[in-house]
Amino acid sequence: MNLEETRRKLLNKFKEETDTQLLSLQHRLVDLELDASNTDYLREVFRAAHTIKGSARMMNFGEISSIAHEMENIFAEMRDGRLRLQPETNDLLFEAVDTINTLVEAALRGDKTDLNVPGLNKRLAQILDTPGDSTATATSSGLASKETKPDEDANGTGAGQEAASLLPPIVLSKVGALSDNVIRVDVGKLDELMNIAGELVLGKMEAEATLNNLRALQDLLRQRQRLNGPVRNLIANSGRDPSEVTTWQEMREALIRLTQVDQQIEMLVKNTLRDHEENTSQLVNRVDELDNNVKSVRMLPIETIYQEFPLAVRSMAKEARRDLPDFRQQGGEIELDKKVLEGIRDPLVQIIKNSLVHGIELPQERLEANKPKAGRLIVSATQDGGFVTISVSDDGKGINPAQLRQKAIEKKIYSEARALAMSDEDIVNVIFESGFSTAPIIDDLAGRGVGMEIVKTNLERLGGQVSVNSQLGQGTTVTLRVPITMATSRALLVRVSGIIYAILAPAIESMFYLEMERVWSREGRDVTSYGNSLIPLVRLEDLIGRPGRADHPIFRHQELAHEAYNPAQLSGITAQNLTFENGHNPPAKRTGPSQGGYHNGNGQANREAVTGDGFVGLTLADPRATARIRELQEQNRDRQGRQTTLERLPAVVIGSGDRRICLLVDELVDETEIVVKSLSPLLTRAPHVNSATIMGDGQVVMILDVPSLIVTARQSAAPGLRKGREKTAAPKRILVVDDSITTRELERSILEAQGYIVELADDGTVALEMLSRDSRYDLVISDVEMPNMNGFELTTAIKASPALRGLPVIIVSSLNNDDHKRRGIEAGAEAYITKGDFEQANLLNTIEYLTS
Amino acid sequence: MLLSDEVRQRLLHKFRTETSQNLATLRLNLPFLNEPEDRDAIITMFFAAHTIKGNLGMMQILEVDLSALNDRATDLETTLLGLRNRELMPGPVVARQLEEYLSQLESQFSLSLSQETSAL
Repeated sequence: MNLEETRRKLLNKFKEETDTQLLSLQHRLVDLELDASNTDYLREVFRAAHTIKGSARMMNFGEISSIAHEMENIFAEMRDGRLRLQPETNDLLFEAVDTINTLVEAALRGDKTDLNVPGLNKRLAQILDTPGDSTATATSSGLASKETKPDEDANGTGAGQEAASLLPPIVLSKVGALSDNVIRVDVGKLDELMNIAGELVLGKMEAEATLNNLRALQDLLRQRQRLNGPVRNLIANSGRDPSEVTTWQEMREALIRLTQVDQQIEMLVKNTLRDHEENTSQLVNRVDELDNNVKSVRMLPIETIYQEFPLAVRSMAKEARRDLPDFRQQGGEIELDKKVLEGIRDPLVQIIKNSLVHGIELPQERLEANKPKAGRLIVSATQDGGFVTISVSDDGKGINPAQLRQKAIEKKIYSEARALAMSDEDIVNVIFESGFSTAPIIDDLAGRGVGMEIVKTNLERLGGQVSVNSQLGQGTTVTLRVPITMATSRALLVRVSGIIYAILAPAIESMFYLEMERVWSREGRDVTSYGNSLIPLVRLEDLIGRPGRADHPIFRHQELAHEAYNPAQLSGITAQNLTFENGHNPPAKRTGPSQGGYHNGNGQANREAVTGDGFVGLTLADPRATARIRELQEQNRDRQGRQTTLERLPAVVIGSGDRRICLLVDELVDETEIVVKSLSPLLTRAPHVNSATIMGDGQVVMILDVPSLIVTARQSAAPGLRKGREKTAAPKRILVVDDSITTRELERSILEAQGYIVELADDGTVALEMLSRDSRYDLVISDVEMPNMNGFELTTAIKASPALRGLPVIIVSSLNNDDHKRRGIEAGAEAYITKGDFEQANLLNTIEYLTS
Repeated sequence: MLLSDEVRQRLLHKFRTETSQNLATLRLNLPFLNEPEDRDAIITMFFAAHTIKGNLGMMQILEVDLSALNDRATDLETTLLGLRNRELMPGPVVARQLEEYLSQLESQFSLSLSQETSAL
């Protein structure tokens, strides 16, 4: 794609976005005429103007940007209560909206306009020049009194500002022409949808056939009823009728007819049931297929928004007087729902802008700090189950927590006591507060303290999260985590302390019955083997119901499980089904298998019931999962029914990679499709819950927040389920650096099987960044030939760093001549292993030697 | 210590995928070697060949015998290393040689995938 094509694409996107914002401005300006002090409206118009300004600047549309800037200034004064909007002032603001719209249309056509933009800007600016302080009113009559010189007239036509102010509100018919609701769909995908629609017509016909069968059944039942009458009468009158022979003959005939009808009914029911089962099965498949296809139509690659960032970075860097940074984008092929993608675009632009304006230092400052003159900016996306994590990292000056604390106190965002009590990690979150900015002066690029607030607001709307990690002098990483889609999802329902919770399927790796033989204790934590690695093992009950940790009523009910707690007391929640299946009592508040005593009661029999090593080996993507869950349920019920000791527990592995944890639950209830609903405000602060769903029977089920569970689980040091077999040595952390995914994964598998904690980097630059952020690695294994920074350069950099100098480096490379080995030694590597002669024992022995 | 079957299958899958991608990268960039020196193409091809060769070596750990592919992968890597280090000059002769190596490697890789007894 050439530059012109790229620009054309960006222009269309700019048009779509500006239309949306202009439409919002139009609506809210009308609303503000009726309610001039509505702070929500004022915030919305401010954000709209701010967004238009930013987008226009990105596209280098100076006139549009300048009008939006003036509007933004006016709205900021209104928002902060220093300026009160008078109804007639809206005319000028509508004129500004219309002018922007005209300019956008012209830009799309490649035309120029003869609009007097400087004149309009001047009139807008004069609203703020109206005499007065906090009680100033923005009226066009005030402007008119100042607009007396003919040479200052906007259009040079002699028409004064007063005339302009008397114009009626302008209606922008072209704004928001639904372009924002349009999505391009591949014809192939549409064909697939058409095919499924055709099959659904078959389903309709089958349903009609079933209906006809049911009607026939109804007729037969009526016949049967008619036949029943005479038979009953004959029986009632027997003994009194003198002609008994005739009577018995009639009865016999009636019974024969009754039997025939019964046979017909039985046949019809049998056939209908068989057909309906078959049809329902097909219908379920078709509906699932349709659902998947419709969802896929909405999916777009992140590349869709990535493509506009290089130009934006160039433009913003120029304006911020920074050298063009080394800008990289990774993970553009990952797909997201269009709505989510649209929702993260503005936050990403804002974060990139912050990195350029606040993060990356001026060239001279960078040189003085021994950094390359141009900064580095990396936007990278990774998929983690049903979520996508997008991080924006810079190598700038980082965020100064002390400065943030001081500003937060000055701006009265936090009290002095609270700010001083907050940790450096926590205080960083103040950047998401409205009106917070550290910029010494407000300029075109920054300083209004609105940007990060928009980021947070947009992310929350998407059900996502944003976090910041910064190291003073080394750089900042802002991480967004958003769901791939916001519609429906498959979920596993689990029961804990009598309450059903849902875990979204994308986050689940597997489910199985965990045998006590598979539980170990390491460093005070329970762990279990999963594949070839050990992963943390936690009771879900402990995570969501531990006193002190769960301070919300929704969790307190778990402490009151035996009392008459009524979840319906919670506003906005339907009554939660607190009955327990199989008639058994809710499990007592278990203190854990260790205290409950997990004896080998009938362990042998159960071990045979579950295949192999006890792992079910199914994920929710597997259609056999539901059947397997039911089988496991039955086994569980059987054991509980016989009051036997639970020596094996239902377990679910969530997360991925080195973030996996194994959760113990009371029961695997079901696997089903759910519609994800946002939480009511009452519950938004509930820990480990991020949304809810309503089941077919009206029951509200909380959806667990997997990332939050993982973080808590990995931090917690739960008392051991199983003592003994404990390795006292802390697990070693190893960084594997290789541009080949096969090699990275192979080395990781080998090392994790030995209990090492392994992290991965795909080139030397990324590795060095990871090492600079976290020096707690025990060893680095690196390839040599990699893009950006090779293994020799990485080793040299490690050995040149005072903080990293002692870190052993093993080079694993397919380059096996002496020259390369010599270069490895010169760089400072402790070992050099050739891939061609690769033996895992050799690698493991070398690691053991270097880290012991 | 042996890796489990599940892990082994996962790694073999990654190897198949990555090798296919790298072979495609080599094939796509090959025409550029006929042009005046295209450093990007040379470097891209070198990394692709280097990765294939490295991974072939690593596959030994999975007890997969891919020695038949190793020679051609080494030939490719060595030639491309020469180009990268400017010890060789790009042009039709080198391009033809690389084309030959690549075709052989592609055939051997396809054969490995198709053979019923193949570990791949």
